[in-house]
Amino acid sequence: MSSESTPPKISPHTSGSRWYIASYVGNSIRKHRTRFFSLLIGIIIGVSLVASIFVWTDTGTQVATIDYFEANLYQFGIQQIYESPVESQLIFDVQNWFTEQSAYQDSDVVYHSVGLLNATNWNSSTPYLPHPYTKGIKDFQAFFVENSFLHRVAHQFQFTGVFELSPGECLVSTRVIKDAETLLSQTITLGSVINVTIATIYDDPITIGDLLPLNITNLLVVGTYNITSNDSVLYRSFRGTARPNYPVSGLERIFGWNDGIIMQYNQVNSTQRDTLTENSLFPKLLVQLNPMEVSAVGLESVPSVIREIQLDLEYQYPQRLAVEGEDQVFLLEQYIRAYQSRQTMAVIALPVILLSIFLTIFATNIFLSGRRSEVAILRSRGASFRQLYAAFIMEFIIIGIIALCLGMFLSLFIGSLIPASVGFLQFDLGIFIQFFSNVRLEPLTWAIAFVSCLLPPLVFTMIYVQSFLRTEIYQAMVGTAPPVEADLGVTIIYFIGGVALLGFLIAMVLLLPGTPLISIMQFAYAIAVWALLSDIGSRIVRQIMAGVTRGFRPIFGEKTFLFEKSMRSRRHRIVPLLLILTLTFSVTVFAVVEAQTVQDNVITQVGYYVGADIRIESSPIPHNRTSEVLSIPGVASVTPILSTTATIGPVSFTIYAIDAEAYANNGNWDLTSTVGENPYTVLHYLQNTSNGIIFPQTTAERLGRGIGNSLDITVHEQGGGVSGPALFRIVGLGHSAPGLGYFDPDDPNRPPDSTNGFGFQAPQAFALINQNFMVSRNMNNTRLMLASISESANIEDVQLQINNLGFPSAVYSPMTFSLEDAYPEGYLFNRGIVSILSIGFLACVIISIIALILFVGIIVTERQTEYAIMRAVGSTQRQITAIVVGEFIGLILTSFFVALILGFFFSWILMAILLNLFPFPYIIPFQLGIPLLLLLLVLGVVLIGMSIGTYIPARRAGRTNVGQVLRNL
Amino acid sequence: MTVPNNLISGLIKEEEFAEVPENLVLMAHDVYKIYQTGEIETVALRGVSFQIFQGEIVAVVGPSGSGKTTLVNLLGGTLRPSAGQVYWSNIKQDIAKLDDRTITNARRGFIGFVFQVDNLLHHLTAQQNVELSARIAGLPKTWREKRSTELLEAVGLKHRTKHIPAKLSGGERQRVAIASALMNNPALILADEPTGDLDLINAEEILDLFKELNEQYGTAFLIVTHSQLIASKARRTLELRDGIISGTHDAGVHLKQLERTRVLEVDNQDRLPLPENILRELGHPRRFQVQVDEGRIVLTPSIIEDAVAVEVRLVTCRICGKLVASNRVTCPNCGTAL
Ligand SMILES: Nc1ncnc2c1ncn2[C@@H]1O[C@H](COP(=O)(O)OP(=O)(O)O)[C@@H](O)[C@H]1O
Ligand SMILES: [Mg+2]
Repeated sequence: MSSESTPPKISPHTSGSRWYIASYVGNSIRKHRTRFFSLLIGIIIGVSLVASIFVWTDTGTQVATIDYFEANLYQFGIQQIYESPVESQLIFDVQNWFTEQSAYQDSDVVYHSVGLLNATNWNSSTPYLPHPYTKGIKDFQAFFVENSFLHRVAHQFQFTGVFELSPGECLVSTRVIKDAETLLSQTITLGSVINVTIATIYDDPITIGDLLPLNITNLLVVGTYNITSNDSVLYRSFRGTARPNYPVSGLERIFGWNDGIIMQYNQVNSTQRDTLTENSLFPKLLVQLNPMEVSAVGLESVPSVIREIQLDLEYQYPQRLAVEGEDQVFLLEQYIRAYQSRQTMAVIALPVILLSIFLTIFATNIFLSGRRSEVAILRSRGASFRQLYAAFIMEFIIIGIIALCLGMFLSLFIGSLIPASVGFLQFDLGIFIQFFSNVRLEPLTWAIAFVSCLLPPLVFTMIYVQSFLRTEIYQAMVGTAPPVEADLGVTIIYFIGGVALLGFLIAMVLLLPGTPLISIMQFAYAIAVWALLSDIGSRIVRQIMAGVTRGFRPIFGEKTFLFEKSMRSRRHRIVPLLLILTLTFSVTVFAVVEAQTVQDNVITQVGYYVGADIRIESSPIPHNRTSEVLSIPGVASVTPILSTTATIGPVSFTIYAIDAEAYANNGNWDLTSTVGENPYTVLHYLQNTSNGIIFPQTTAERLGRGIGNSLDITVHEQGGGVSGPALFRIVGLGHSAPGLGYFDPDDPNRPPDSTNGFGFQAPQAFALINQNFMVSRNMNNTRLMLASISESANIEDVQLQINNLGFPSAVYSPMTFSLEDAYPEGYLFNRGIVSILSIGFLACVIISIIALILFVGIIVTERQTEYAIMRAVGSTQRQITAIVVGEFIGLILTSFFVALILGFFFSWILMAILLNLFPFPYIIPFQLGIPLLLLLLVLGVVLIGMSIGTYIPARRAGRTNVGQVLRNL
Repeated sequence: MTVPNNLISGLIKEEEFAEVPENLVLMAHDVYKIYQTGEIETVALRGVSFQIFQGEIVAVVGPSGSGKTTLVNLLGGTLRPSAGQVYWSNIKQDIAKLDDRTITNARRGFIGFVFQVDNLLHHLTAQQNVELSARIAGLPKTWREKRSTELLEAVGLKHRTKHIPAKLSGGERQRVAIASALMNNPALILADEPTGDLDLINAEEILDLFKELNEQYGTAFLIVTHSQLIASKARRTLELRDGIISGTHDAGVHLKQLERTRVLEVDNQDRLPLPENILRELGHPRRFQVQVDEGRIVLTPSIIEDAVAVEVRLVTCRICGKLVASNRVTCPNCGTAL
């Protein structure tokens, strides 16, 4: 020993080195790698789940807005109201008004009128209307535009040839070409020369002569076109009208871009234009707003900003303008509203988020507890409370920052994956890319992720570290005695408490009104009870397993003795492990069942509203045209639903006349459709009572009538005239009917948020009577038919063929019904739920496997001495591995069964709560969808994953180095 | 080295701390320690008082469970006494009531530990472990490296500096622990059975190292030991039994024949523990007649066992808490000697 290294004097009053903290943190993260990664992954999962919901909704809002601006080159299509005196200048005043608005970007004026193809073929006294096509008259909408307009909108059209014009040239829509061929046998192709006549009066032209034709001859066809988007403002500003073109046909759509010819603006000279404007050549102003300006206040308020501009405009020019564009804004608003209702989405992810918070806390616990003695050693060497506390907090902050950043990064992907979900665990790449390329991460998302995923473990770390820095160094170094077993009384009280809270939950769900706020609170409470019951369940499982193994001791010998001992002594580890396992399995059940339930219910509810396999809507036609439908292969049966109005005193309602037997067979009935007896019986009564009526239950109550009572009803003619009184007998009371919706639209049972039953809800209260009643009174017209198809039929084929019959205005089928078009908000919501559930499920599996490896790992580490002794007294590596794997698989299986019960129960109760949050017009009670096969498959995979998860640490247990472990004794 | 008599006997009151002699390093005064484990209370120390002076080597001996480890931890401030004071001369205060931070700051350069349990960090190399306390104290790196290398060389581990504890033998680990304790050149080394794992030659080397430090820097040592070798080098040996100092020995103690050098001290509660071996020889008498005879105290076992004398009282077992008849030698429940 040389005297050179006499240490500098260390003052007893100074604190230690600040630098040491940093070096310690770096070192300890490196040395506790597994725990570090578990904690990291736990937090990452939590963060990415929470954040992805917000990323998704923020991005969704942006994508919806971008889509809106992309689909709608113009925000407004403005024209003078037809009825008002024509002012040729008005539209240009409006244009000037717009140029002064800050949000204004650009505008185009399109002149349009009615045109006739080759009108010179007829003499001027030929009647024009009705049914011009019968006479071979082809009319169309004529457009006069600038080339700048054509260039701007070209991408919204499909065309051959060119999409620009010089005087003397025109662009012809494919529909006009087709009609010219069939009506006039005139073939129009690129390069053809055509003659058109522009109508010069608007009001009621009776004869061709009334149109006072302006002839434009020798137009060269330089392009043929079709507009592609059919719901843009551009399209809908010229959406045309509907008219029967032939006496036998129903309404057909005519005019609009797709039934038109486009000519150059200067094709009519200015004098012509001015005279025409007074009569029939209308200017339409198409206005483009600046997306940047409109969204300056925030994407959420784009719809209201646009709407406000429209209100300003209408205030400026009251009652003089017809403005197109509102529908598109409304659609955008629906999307945005759906995205902004994300609290509800977050609520659904709550079980998984809770699980990841549990994991982070347990992982933190394990991360720290193993270092109790390490800290004691450091303290005995002079490390102060402050140094160590700062080190741990810093360590956590480092982990937290890494996890937060990685989690956020991950959430960009997951957030883009949510909208791409097309089913449980199925995704659409295109939507994913669309979202991912527009992905948005807002400051609020960071804040929420921090508060929900980092704060709990941080607070836990602070408290925990304090606690073990407060224990005396010596005590910490030798370790504390295991906590004393809680006595049975406490467990029983705990159990009773849990059951009481559960009872309270059920009572609350059944009794409280389902307002969104109450529902969200109920949901949160339910999750808390769920966690609590899982905890109670875990404790009971542990106790039971310790007891059961004791019972098996005579059979299995000392292995069970060891297991029993370990169940007792590692209680503080076993219970959290069981808890996580129980929660995982039950959340898995929840995710699978709930996703299935939501999907099933969309189909059932839509099916009920649509009414049957196929629903055919049309303008009024004779009911015997059902035979045309029936002749189509694949259609099994079809029944018309005749309708007229009726009154009982002041009460007016609709009467639907049906073939009761056919309706019973074709309609998608539900047991709750009718009151008391099942719908089939009720319909059977109707069938057998010629003056029977099925009456809305609510109206019957109001009138003080019931089953068997008779009703004096004034039935009106289908046209409106009074047909005369009739005496009916009530054979049954109803809540709702397939295809028609609620018997009484004011039914108090209707969910407040239901949106007209996707457009299928009958507009006013109705009753059902026998078809014969109306037919006998010569009321033969129907507007609705319900058909069923044979099992082998291809639904899309059948639908198309029915459509091709000509008379249907719309043909629906639940199978091909597009919820997205009919009801974007509900559609988004359902999709969101299903994808959050499937992503949540994946997270859940990852969490549980990490938890398992972590817990089994730590238990194995803590029991090394035990294994070493077992090895020393002659157990083989393999035996020990087997014992450990066996132990944990036993635990996994037991918690699995507890979880099944919890999972099903909470799927049911949470679904009941969620129904109040669905912006969804459910009409028949929801059914829990239990996809047994999928569930078995999923749980099987999870079980296998977990078993493999135990094997890794178990093998380590087997490899315990006897010499090294026992040397330390 | 002269030591004031009143200090040796521990008859010192708190208010007299100001007058403690210059060369006092550490002093325990009437220290009690009661462990609480659930419902069970264990009295590990029951009124222990003694002092350590600069450059002194004090050995502590006693049967297992007598409270040696507890005492070491109380002195080093890693455990708080249930009652009594522990005086540290570097801060001239009783540490029993100080907060953890002050104690930690004061301990950094004052006390070096060699614990009975493994007190090395598993993920640091031998050299890093030795350097640890200096790093925590914030001492310069070059000095740290030099000093730790020297210390490892001194304990004979020059070739093991880069090894982590798991790669070292028990004896080697113990020597790393000793080197670590010496790192900051503390005024007092508290060593709890440091030679437990060491073979004889090693022990000799370590002792030489201790001796050298002792002479060079005046480092004081309190060493809990079962080793005759160490005890023989001690200037003083304290005998601990059932949580009290049951005897002291001057230099030249023989662990096999403690009774030859044992001096009994009346503690500051006027208690005088009787040596166990003598009681055993006499057949564990529970009662004595006391006479003073020409300046000597004569204790005569009371043989007349009248009815009152044999009346059996119930006492509480200090380990398991069961009530036990006072005439029993061991607790029938847990086997502890009563
Ligand atoms: N952390 C502890 N908790 C409870 N009792 C303890 C603890 N440490 C020691 N004891 C008890 O205190 C008494 C003295 O122990 P200890 O100081 O370790 O003795 P020694 O080191 O002399 O063997 C023993 O009876 C022991 O059981
Ligand atoms: Mg000891």
